[in-house]
Amino acid sequence: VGSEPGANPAQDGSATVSAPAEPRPPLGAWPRLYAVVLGMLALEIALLKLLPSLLTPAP
Amino acid sequence: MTRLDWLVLGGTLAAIVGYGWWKGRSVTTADSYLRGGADLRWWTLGLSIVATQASAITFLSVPGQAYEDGLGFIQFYFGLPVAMVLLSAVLVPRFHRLKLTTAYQFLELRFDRRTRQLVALLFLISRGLASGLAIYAPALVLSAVLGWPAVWTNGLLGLATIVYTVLGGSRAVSRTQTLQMAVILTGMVAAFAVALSLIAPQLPLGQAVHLAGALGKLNAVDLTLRTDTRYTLWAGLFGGLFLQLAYFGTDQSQVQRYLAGGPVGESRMALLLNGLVKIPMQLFILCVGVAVFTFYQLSPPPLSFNQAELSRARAALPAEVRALEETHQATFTSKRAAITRYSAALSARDAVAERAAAAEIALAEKGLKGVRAKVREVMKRAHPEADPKDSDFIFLRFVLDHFPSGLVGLLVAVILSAAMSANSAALSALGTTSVVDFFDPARPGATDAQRLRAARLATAVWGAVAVGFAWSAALLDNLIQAVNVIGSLFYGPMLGVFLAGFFLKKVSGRAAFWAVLLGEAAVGLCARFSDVGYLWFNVIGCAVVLGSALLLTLAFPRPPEAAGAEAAL
Repeated sequence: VGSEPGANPAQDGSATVSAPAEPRPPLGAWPRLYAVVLGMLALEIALLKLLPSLLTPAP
Repeated sequence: MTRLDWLVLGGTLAAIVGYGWWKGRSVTTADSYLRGGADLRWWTLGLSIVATQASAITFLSVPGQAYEDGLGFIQFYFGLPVAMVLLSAVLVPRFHRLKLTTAYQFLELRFDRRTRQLVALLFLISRGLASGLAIYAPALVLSAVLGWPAVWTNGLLGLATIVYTVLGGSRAVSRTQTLQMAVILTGMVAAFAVALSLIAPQLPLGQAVHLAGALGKLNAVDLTLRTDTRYTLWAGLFGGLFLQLAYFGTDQSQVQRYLAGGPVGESRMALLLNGLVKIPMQLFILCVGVAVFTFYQLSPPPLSFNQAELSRARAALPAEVRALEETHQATFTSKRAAITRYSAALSARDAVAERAAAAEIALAEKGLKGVRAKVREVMKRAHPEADPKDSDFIFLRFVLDHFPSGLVGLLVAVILSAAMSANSAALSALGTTSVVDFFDPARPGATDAQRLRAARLATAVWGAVAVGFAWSAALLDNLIQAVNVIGSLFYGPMLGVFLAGFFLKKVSGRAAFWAVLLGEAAVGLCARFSDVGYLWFNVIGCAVVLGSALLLTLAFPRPPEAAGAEAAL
């Protein structure tokens, strides 16, 4: 399982884990999910910036 | 603590430990011990990720942080959702394809074994130290509640965590964390409700929010570009992004949580769930701290929240402490009167009177801060070895002094179980890395039983190291900051070498190895000789590794045949 220190196991095949080549899966719904997460972040930052004036309007 | 508190505390802890033991009893192979199980769904993994990051320190220290500095600490988490998206899109599919147990195995595939073991060693050091803090924080609770010396409570809690982790393994860690998160959320909501119920009879809640705003506690976002300020929008977005990328992408205590799942989609969804819930959750805990601060504007706070040190100072220098108590009482009384005028001005919608009263309150608050600073000086003078800081005691003192019977026990149970949860995940990861990245390469012919024994032994040894560090943790600043400062000393170079592995195809193993050492040296110099905020250490360490890896590759080029294996990575 092991290899000499300093050797590159990707090169000599001695790595403790193998590196199987598989086709990448299609993107599917992931980009939309990423947009939701990042959109929520932008909304949260904007709301937090406005928080003092939103919660404590001048009389 | 009343008998009901002890009953609630004992019952909750027994239920959690028993559940962990029950779920972990089927662990008989090294693989199930180290990895967890493929049947865990994304919500279990997501809650496990949240629970691993939110330890007892979060619950004890973040409200204290809000009490001192308001909501600004939330900016620390702004980089997290971006990091979750990047990791979900780029890193998780690769780790799954390679069927890794630890993140550091990737570095051997891409570079060489010594780079893998160097980075694994950095993880062991940083996480070992952070685990010490994760034991120290709840030990603080036990010391305050039971009056036992911190040395004993550290040892006792550490021992309980070690036994629980060694028995349960990674599978029990993930399962138990789901239950613990439910208890933690219940506790946080209860704490907020109690704080509001204590404020409402003294000041209408709308006016209480105004008061917190007038004292600057609602200022959450700082747009300035200063690098010597710890929390700004930019430090959070960029420095925080690097810290969170490194923490979730290269820290085995997190990687182990999402690699335990079956299909890759479960791990990706778990990270996105964390990206969605983290900021609202941390904001809520900070709001609990602001509520505690507002309560202590209306009711007199103690001269110091660190009652044990205050008592020692009072015994040594009684006249000085008494004088400070009198000044503190007088300043609080004048502030309380100003708050009454402020409330009347708000009710009458009198903007001029409101501004005048707010200025008086702010001045009195500044005076009270000055008195607290003098108290710390007196404590230090009375006992030079004393730790006079009290921000980590604020929330605990509030709970013990003002919560109803039963709820005190629940909150102490929440803090202790959160500590055991986060710490058991860390110890499990330390044991896994020790076995997979050091024991396995050294003993390639080891049987499964030998690997399981080695994993249990390594977990126990790391537990002992963590307890040792916990005994010296009292010397540190605010705990939540201490944890993140320790992480930031190591995470930048760790992230840099992973990014080099993913995106810089030309970089050779030898260049990567020396680049990590140069990155660590750069971060060490910044920490020692500059005023740069610690979040920027992550950016600096990462940039130095990437830049020097490219330069060093000119001197140590990658063998052309090594690039052939690249496609699979």
